[in-house]
Amino acid sequence: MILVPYILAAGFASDLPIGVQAARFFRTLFDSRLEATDAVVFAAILLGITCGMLGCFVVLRRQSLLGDAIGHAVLPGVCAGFLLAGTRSIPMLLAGALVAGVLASVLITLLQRTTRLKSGECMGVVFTGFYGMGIVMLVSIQKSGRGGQSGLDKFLFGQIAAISDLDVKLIAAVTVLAIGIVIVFWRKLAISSFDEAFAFSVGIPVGWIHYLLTILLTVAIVISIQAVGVVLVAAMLVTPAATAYLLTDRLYRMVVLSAVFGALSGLLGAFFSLLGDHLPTGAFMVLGASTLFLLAFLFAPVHGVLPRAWRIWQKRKRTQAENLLRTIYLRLEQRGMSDRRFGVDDLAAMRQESPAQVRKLAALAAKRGWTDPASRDPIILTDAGFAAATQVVRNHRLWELFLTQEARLAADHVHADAEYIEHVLPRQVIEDLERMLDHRSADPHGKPIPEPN
Amino acid sequence: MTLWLKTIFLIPYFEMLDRYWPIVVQGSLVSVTLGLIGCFLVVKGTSLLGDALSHSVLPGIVIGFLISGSLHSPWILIGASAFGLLAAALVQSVHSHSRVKEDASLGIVFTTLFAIGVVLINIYSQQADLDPGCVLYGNLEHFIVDHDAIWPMVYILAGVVVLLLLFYRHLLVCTFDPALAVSLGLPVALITYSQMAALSLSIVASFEAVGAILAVALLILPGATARMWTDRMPAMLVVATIHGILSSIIGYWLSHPAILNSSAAGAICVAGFGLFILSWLLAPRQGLVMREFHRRQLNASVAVENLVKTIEELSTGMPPALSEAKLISEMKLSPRRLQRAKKRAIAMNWIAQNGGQLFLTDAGQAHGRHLTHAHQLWELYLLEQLGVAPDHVHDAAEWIEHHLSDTDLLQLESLLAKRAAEKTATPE
Repeated sequence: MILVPYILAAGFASDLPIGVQAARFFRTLFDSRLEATDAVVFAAILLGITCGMLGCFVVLRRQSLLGDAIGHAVLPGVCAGFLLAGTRSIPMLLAGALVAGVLASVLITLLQRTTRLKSGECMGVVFTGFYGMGIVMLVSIQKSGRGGQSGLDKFLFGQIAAISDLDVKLIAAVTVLAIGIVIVFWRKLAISSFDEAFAFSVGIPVGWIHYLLTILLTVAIVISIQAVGVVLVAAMLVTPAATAYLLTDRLYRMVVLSAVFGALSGLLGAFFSLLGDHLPTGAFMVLGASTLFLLAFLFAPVHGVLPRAWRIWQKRKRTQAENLLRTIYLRLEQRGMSDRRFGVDDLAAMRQESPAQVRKLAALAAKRGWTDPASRDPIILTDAGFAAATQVVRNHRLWELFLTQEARLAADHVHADAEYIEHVLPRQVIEDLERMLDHRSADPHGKPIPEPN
Repeated sequence: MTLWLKTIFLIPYFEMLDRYWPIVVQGSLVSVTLGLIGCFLVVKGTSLLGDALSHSVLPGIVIGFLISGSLHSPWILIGASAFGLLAAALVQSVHSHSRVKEDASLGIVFTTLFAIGVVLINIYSQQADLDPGCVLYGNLEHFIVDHDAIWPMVYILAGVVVLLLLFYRHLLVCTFDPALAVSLGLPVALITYSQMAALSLSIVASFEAVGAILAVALLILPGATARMWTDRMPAMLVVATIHGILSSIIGYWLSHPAILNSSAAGAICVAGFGLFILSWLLAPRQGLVMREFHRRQLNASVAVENLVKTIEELSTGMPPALSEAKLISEMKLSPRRLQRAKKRAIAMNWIAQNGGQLFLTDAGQAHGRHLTHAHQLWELYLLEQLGVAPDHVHDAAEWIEHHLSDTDLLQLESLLAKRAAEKTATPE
């Protein structure tokens, strides 16, 4: 569904197929001449980097709504800048936005300190109030007849084509500054983002770091609003950072990845909005970032939904095969540990399952080399299978012993629990258990605990 | 009515109200409806859910509009509800199936859906009469020409009020103590979902009037303002209603062509925000101004009591007396503050002045003894009862002696007496 707007835009924007457009876009981007498009795309990438980098700290601090709040709150500043300058002077607009953003965050902090409103409500009150003011000023400017030349409406959803060379230089300067500050304050930012109380206890000026980050955020938002617009700028802070968060556990990798994703989203947004007139750059950037997030959400190697589902599926099949091995081992015990051939019907009766189900489990076991794949009935246990079966039964009985001896549970309450844990006990835990239980040789039901071979 | 308003506000431009009344009426309907629901959300701290919801339903509204060609068709409601449900499901699945926290997943989902809506509007704005402006600030002026469009909001407000009256107690318990509600056997999930349904319906219905983002302002501002004035839910609901109506009237006036000549919906939000800030500053008990005033009162009376106590402690004569110079050096006060404390003390008849000397009157001596007594009792209490180290008790007592009433002192005395009796009964 995320892709629908892209397809629509590609269809509506031009007669040329999208592939040709893309080829042309990237050819002009990478040839040696510098053109207007180059500057615009460069700006989109730079602000993607800034927002992505700073967004990591926002996401880790669980302050995603702060970006949204400041984003909406800069609107009256932009309009005030326009009213003061009389024309669309970018430095004035940005200065106004900066003042409004800082004012809003100060007001939010004041409300949080002096009222009983919850923190989210304080943000909500301030940013909607500021946004209302911005709307009133904006409509007022438009009705006064200066709206056409103001181009202020571009600040709502972003129009990257309106960015000038001077703006690009400004964005580049801010990006360098932001990267520099993050590097200089790296340790303090990192520690206070993960654990504010700990940071405070080791003498990091938590309050100042918070203000520093808020001001940096405001600056990043201010340089982004021309391209992304005030309404959606929060997404450029949150989405790339959340995407990176799914891919790594290390902060510096997260920051780098997030900056890369931000830059990619910027590139995508710039390309699609340049396809036609009046297409909102911000919305396309946000959708680009969301697409990247969706991909990471589904396919990230450790935290992705699909790889995780795959691992669970694998584990379940292994567990089923191990359950069959345990049944086989019990039968083997009854026979005095001789003859490794087992009839399917016999095992099915023991497991209270159908023969077909047992055959399915046997196939799973055969795949792991635990039973002889050539013989389907009787099932023949291999040496590897015998070792695995011994291990499972051993885990099961050790755990039962632990529960009765150490956790003091009744002997008839421990089987179900051991049934589950026998498949997941790591080697280290088993060694600990052996030591703790004094290498005893029988489980609570009197059955011997098999030695590993 | 018009005349009344004119005399109250002493402001012109209300004479046009006979033509522009739909702005005020529809504005009030929207703000009161959202404000009533918002009170419960504000108290619970979940009002930003409304923010996310109002952003997320945008593509549904646009698709409904593209199908039916009007903002007054059931398709709008169907589309918006579908996307509202989709958003809730997406937020839930993102933050339960990954390590991304709830705030970030909320942010990702609602910006994505909103972006889809924005692109749809921009692409189809040539074909259909739907411009990006309506998303941002609605079109309250539309109701001047289309009076009938007001009715849906009337019905919704009526429905919300009826539901509130019927299920007020249930709502109250669910808001303040969901665990208690469960243990009482209330259908908590049903009540929460109905509340959410009412919220979505109101947001969708107010879309044409105020747009997607200003609706959030009207949702939060009345409740937050009411919270400044009162602790009780019925009173909060009344204050929120008044806030909604008042901000619509002021907003109408602000947006008038002769004042700001701007969007009425935006102006209503600005008025509401103004009322909130005023309440924050001026509310009788929690307002910043009143709290500062009380703080100063307290500081002043503490200064007076300290003056009395210092004279009582340092003077050997009868009646106790000290020179002003001595007091200044002992209490480390600026002369100006000493003069202020002295004036108050004389007015309370605790101190009399004779040249440069300050005497304690009988009442002053009595109060000084009371303070010393409170100080000593508290020190004893900390030492005996709480086991605080002897060199830590003085500062605590210094502060609390000004706040202990006679009943407190009696209680402390009996407590310490009991303790002493126990000690003698069981010698260690």
